[in-house]
Amino acid sequence: MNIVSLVKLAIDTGQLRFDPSTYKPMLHDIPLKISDIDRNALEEALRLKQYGFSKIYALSLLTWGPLGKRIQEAQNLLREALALGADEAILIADEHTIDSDSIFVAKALAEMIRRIGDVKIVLAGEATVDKFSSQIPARVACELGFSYVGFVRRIEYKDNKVIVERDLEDHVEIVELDLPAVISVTREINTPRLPTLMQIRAAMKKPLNIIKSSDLGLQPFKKTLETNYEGVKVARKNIIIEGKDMSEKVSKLIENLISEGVIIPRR
Amino acid sequence: MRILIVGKLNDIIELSGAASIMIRSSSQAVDVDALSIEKIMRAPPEVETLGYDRIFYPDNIERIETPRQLAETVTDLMNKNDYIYIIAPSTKLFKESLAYAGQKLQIPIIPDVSQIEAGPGRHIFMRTIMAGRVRSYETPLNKAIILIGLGRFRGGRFSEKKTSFVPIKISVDTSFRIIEKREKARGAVRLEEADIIISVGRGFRSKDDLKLAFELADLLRGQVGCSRPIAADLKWLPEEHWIGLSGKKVRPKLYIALGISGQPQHIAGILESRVIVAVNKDPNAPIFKNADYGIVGDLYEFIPKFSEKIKEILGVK
Repeated sequence: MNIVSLVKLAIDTGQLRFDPSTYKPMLHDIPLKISDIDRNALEEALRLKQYGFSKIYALSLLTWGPLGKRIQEAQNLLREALALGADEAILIADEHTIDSDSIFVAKALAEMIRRIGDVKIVLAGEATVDKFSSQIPARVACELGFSYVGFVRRIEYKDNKVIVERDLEDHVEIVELDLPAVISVTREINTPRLPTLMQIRAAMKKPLNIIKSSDLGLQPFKKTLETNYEGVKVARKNIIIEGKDMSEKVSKLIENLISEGVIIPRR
Repeated sequence: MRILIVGKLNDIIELSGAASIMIRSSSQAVDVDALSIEKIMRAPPEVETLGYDRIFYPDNIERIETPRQLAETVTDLMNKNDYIYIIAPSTKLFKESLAYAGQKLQIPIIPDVSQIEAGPGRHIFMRTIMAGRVRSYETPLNKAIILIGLGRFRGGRFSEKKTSFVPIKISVDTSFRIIEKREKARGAVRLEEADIIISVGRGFRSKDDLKLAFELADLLRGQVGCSRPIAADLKWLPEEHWIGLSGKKVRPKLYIALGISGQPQHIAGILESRVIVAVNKDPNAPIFKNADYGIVGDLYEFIPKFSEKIKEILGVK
């Protein structure tokens, strides 16, 4: 009985840079990181392990290129997942996974989960910090024919079932679900641990496998969307108001708010 | 060409605005169907006159409420009617259900769409990604599911067509058993509609001090929002105040972030604010990168000074 924790290697949006002439994001040059909410998913997998699960797999598919440059970076990040406590890491990466769409990503992940075998629970973050689309977990569930529940902030494990609390916009639902299941979690579910030095060392000895999508018997994907990214220019004014004291800063701020028309003085 | 709109009756009214953009920009005739996820007892006149061709609704259950039920119903309608677009609100239930359906149908999804541009023979859907710093313009090469942020379009009549209401049978989903459903506390807080939001974060030292923010909000006739730690960890405010990825997405004219560091998850909820002001002691707080006006300083010093000047300007004693 195994658990798979999906790990997106996401663009670190804190380090975004833009081409000065075209103002397109220089995505090839921006470091990747483990998507924040996927850390919560992994933490939850580690917590659930006590219920008789044998292995936790950290499973990732590389979508951000260039492949040659990213492959080492991706392995380093998956070492981090191993240090956090995953027993094995698997990276699906080849020229077909780069810039692939979510239909393809879900197929590849699902096929790998089938090959791992005896997977009862697949966990993932509710969204990734770069594209926020929240669709991979449900797509993977569909491919596998697993039950699916999203936006979960508490999981109670009971034999071949889980009882979860999920958070929708205007209500909370308690849902009972049969396993196997794919579950997407929110950040509220737990506080992810930081690895100890011992764990970081131990992670070097744990298995980390790289698989090509072609080895999973997948056909290269047919494009379904044409996508064009543009940096948001002067999205915000980013004016830091200076002044000799708070009183002066506040006066300047209010002048600005009046000229923006968001505060209207009464005469 | 056919389009399917999915949602509650209110959504079906509002998203008719998106349908009319599609119709205006298309050279072919467009028929628009809708799927109401709630049972319709009698045809509401405000829906009947919009111009929908058919409105499907569940007959054997009150509401379609599990992701798989919704996914299967939509898949079924798609297979019968060959829609070019399926359009729904960009909320959690639709995101997950239609992702499931999208995989079944092998079609892409564009979530969180805030703008639709019509090009010759195609549409470009815009959404903001990467903590608000990148706009993604996405053009489907074939069929697609489009999820639209609510509050974006004003519904209205888009054709003269007479609407027929069509009951459909929904299959029972036994794999997903809802044991309990709890409405979140709904006080007077309507952050989504607020023009001014005073938002509080970890910079506040105690729950008691939040009254400073409430007083300021009263003065400006605004509402109080908060970041994740205040609602989720410290529980100083109920969740209805929570703004961010897991909380509410707001679009006020003025958003004042007090003592909020500005994690990407929080920024995701405030992207569409017109003017953002940030007050934080830490000059390196990421919120400043997402603000129009920043004041590096103590919020405890800021609030009384700001209130005082606002009172002068508004002529409040």
